[in-house]
Amino acid sequence: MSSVIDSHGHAHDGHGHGHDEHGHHGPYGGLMRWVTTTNHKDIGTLYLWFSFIMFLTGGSMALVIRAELFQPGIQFFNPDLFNQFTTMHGLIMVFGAIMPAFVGFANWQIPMMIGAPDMAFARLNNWSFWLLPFAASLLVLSFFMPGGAPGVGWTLYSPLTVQMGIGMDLTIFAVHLLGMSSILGSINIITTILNLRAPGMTLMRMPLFVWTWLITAYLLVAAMPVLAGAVTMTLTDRHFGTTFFNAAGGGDPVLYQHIFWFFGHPEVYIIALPAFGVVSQVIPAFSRKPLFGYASMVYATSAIAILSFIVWAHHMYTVGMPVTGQLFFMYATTLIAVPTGVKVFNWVATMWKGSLTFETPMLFAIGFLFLFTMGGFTGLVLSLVPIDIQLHDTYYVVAHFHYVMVAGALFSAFAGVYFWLPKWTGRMYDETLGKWHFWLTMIFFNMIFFVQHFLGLAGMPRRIPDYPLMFETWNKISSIGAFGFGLTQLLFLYIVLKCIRHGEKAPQKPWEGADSLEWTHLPTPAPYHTFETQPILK
Amino acid sequence: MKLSKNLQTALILASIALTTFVGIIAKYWILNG
Amino acid sequence: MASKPARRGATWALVAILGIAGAAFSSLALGLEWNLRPAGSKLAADIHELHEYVMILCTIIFVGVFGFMFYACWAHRKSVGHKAEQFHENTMVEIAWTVIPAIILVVIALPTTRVVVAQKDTSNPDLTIKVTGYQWKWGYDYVKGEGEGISFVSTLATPRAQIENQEKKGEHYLLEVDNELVVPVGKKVRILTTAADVVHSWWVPSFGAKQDAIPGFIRDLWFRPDATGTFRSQCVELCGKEHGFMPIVVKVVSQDEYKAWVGEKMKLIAAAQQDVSKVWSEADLVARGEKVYASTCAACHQANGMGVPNAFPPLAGSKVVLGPKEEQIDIVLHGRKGGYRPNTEMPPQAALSDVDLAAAITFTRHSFGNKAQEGVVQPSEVKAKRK
Repeated sequence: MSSVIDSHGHAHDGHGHGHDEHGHHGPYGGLMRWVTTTNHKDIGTLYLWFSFIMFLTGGSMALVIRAELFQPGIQFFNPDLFNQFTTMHGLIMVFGAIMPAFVGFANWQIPMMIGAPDMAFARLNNWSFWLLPFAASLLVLSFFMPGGAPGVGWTLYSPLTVQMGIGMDLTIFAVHLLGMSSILGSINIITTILNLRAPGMTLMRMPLFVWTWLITAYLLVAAMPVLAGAVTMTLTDRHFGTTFFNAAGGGDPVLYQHIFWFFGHPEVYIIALPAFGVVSQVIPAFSRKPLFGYASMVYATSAIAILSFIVWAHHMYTVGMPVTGQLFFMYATTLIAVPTGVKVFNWVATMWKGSLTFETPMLFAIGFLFLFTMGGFTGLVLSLVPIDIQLHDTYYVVAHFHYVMVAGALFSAFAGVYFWLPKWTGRMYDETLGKWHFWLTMIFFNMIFFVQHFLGLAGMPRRIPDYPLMFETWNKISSIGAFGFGLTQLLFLYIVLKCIRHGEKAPQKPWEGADSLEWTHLPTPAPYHTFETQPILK
Repeated sequence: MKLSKNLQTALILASIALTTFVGIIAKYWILNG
Repeated sequence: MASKPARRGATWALVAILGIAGAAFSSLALGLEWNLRPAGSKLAADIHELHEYVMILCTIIFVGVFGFMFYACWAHRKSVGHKAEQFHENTMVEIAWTVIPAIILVVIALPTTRVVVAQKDTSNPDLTIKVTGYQWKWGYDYVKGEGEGISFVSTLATPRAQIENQEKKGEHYLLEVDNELVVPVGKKVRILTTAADVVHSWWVPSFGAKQDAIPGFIRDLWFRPDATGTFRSQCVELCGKEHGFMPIVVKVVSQDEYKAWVGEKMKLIAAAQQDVSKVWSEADLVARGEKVYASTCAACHQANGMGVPNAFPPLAGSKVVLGPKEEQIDIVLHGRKGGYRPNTEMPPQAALSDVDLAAAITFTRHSFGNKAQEGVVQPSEVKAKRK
């Protein structure tokens, strides 16, 4: 039985109360609170709201794309503008929506889950966040530059990028800032997890969510600088006479691809691992049963992270690499299926013979399990070189990564929000509306992306604004689904706002099976400052 | 100069990031002459 | 009994699943595309088989694993009174479900390896053709084997009016070209790919052959068509604005038809050599130029020559079009690196023939209200400016 010595944060009243520099009396009100806060809960909130705004922005671009693709022919946007939307949809969703969302979870949850008062570098935390809105503005601003935003795909391949106007340079700058934010954030997270755990909280006692973020943070520190290198070399090729990716000067366009994907593959695990972490908290809670195979889960996650560095060229099977290269990357990629499978089996085993209830967080977690695994299978199909030769750069790939990133990471993020909203706000969300959000999202998501597998198999290339007639029906269905999906996310916004404003008061432990420190040792809602004296865990 | 444990950890990680960034560009700069 | 929202949700899900299944089956009936294109070569057939094999394996595993999960969702619910057991680890089980999937993967990788090696073996071809990706068309050069020396450019033939929804779309909308790649049936064809500007990718799904076209490098692929027919596909690496508008059409013909086609093409080439040196009339140049403009230039400079602000400069009233012809020839041949910023860079059009380029330039000097002093450009002048 752990003895807990902690202090409840002082009740916060923001108005007219003199504030001392150490903020012991809780946050003061107004805009400046949010600009200057160094509190991990505030910063978590900032990340989450920012990511949601970016999600709606990137989502609007997706609707624009699907509107154009509803029918063959060019209806609304000339091909140049269409390519700009495709590019920005990708960049905004990956760097503006999904990654910051999970950093938001990290900020809110990690200190509470390890019994720490805040992140190791609280002020650095503030800077890491505020870099993001600035960088995002640059991305959006590029649309309004002469020549528009770059129309090169989120992968920014050379030498196409060399042809772009000034919007490309803005994008490069934005990518640098986004990367900087991630690296600084990761340094913060690693230092916090390694050095600030409460006494008794050994590494193998940490909640799996914390483990997945520890590993993800290492991936970020290793991979983001590589992306920075690739876009810097693009910048110098554009303006400073270098020829890194230009054959005429002794360089090689494929070098760009190698450098980009050396970042790009760990990047997808950077997105996936925290999602695995959230689901690993939610499923045991609603199964009323401990996570099955905790140690295996830690080893599997580590194995995935290490393997993620040796598989990058499976994104490049068609560049013309020698057969030995193709075979190596194919074998290494199929190998990653093993630890990933282990995780899926462990989650199912957690549910097995539990005592299950299906509140909204659990619905999204189960949805994740089902659909992410489907994405995993299409990944396996793509990992096989001869099949990939047929499917590379087609809509099959688009379907695959949306299954793992949307039905995977996004569903997990929704699960996390519904799960932790009571802890953050002290109020319950509307369960009926939550279930509507889940089912509508589930149905519309599959309507958009399931049919895209067929489009890819039938031969529809990616990144085209217009297409041959035989692709029309699936495109129509996909576009209708997209609009349904988009509208449904406005329901989510309503649910969150309704919860914050008039949600029913939450009990201290709304989820019977939840057992991490924030549920067992802290009031609901969590006070502004928590664990200022660290608990000693026996 | 005695650095705090936190700062030590942070500096090690930051130098990994910086070395990777500079290293990649430097490697291909030198390689391509 | 599950709660009302849960039941409602489950009903909707069932409706959705049935709906999708229904759509899938009806699509089979209606012939909608839902699988890889029919194989036109043994390699493509091997890939089909491999894909089916993997799909079956994945389906079995998927149904197995989620059978367990859905069973648990039903039988292990709190609402039916199921109490949670507290087991949370089992080393034997962990080992089992690590080793068994690994074995399954080996079982998948072995037959796959055979196909990978076969796909890469471009040795001993009967015919070698170099394919060059341009923004935004393909150039074909027959470099070795019967038909050596034949060279032409293949451009999208679908009229702009169809793309802009002013005319009804034809059957081969976006999949038709002016000059198809012709190859003989049953012969091993080796394709060398390269590009003149950015990365493109050449692909014929029915042959299971795809290879990126990388500027400054030469890569290759091979195929051996099983039967005659016309195979249509598209560029498959984002290469800029008109990426979706540079199709690939391969016509596989009998040995005899191929011989005949080669003969015809050689005659045309000889005739074209003469065309370059002869002096063309203004009317002939303008007439031919109008066609070239429509298929090659209008995509950016627009049918009315007005361009697109901040992207593609107008040709109407343009200083370059109205000024000395040397400058316009130079820009059209070699492109304009850096563009007239803020406009987009103009890609070089050197892939086109001297006659076509001369005609197009002459056309622009007589259209959109332009009446240039140096109005006529001869093919020989274009040829002289090629470095």
